Amino acid sequence: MPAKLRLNPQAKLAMAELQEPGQPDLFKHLVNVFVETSDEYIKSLLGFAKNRQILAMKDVAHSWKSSCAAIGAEILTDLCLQVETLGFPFNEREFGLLIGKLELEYKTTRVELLKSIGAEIKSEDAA
Amino acid sequence: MAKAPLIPKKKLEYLSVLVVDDSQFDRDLLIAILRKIGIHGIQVAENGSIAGNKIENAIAIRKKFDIIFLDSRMPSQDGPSLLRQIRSEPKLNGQIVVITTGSSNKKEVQEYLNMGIQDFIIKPVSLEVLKDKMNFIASSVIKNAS
Repeated sequence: MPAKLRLNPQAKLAMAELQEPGQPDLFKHLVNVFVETSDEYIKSLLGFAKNRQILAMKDVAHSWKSSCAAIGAEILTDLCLQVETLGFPFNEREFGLLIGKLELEYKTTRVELLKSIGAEIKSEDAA
Repeated sequence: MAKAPLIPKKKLEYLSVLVVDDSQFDRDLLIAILRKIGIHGIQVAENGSIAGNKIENAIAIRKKFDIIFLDSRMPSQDGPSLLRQIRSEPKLNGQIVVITTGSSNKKEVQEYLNMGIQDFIIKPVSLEVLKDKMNFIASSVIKNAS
């Protein structure tokens, strides 16, 4: 199986195919919507993880997953799937690692996506 | 499976579609794909309750949506609940509903098929998949209308 990509360039190409002439840049719009909604998703997911509200956390991961896949964020999609399919009982250490990976991957993917549309990257995001 | 003949874009222009999804990203992507295919009569609802109101408003003026794209999992009122409501309304007899879902769980899909959906699409929706499916779905809408 090929290695998962942080951002698969095919997703951008697929969105370019949908661009209608004279209309606002669709890819830019979808990246902005993705970042805006994902900021909320990660916030809720981390909150639920902290309080061990596993079902609520799985719901968030499920909702988030399809937009991650559509934007081409393959690693993030896979991490969402791992959260969504988390079995019971789970190993606390592995759970902590998974949530940590998800948080870090989102931070990195977010920066890459914003760079791809020429958006300004705040210093705290780039760190 | 045999491919349905391509529906001319001009015929699709007259279809009215309701997109029900709580995710703005998924909604906007689906709308972009529908527009690319040639469908421009699109209304959106962020949840089942808003969708229910839009459907009732349409009934009130003796109209109905040609196709409803319904997300399976939504807060407040989810896909199955709205689908049951649609199926229990005699004025919506034959309403075409396509489920959009992030899960390919066979049991879940079978439940929807038992509830009389026309088709389901696994998210994320792609232009290629939707184009293909719309040929089948839209051809039955156009056939019924003519």
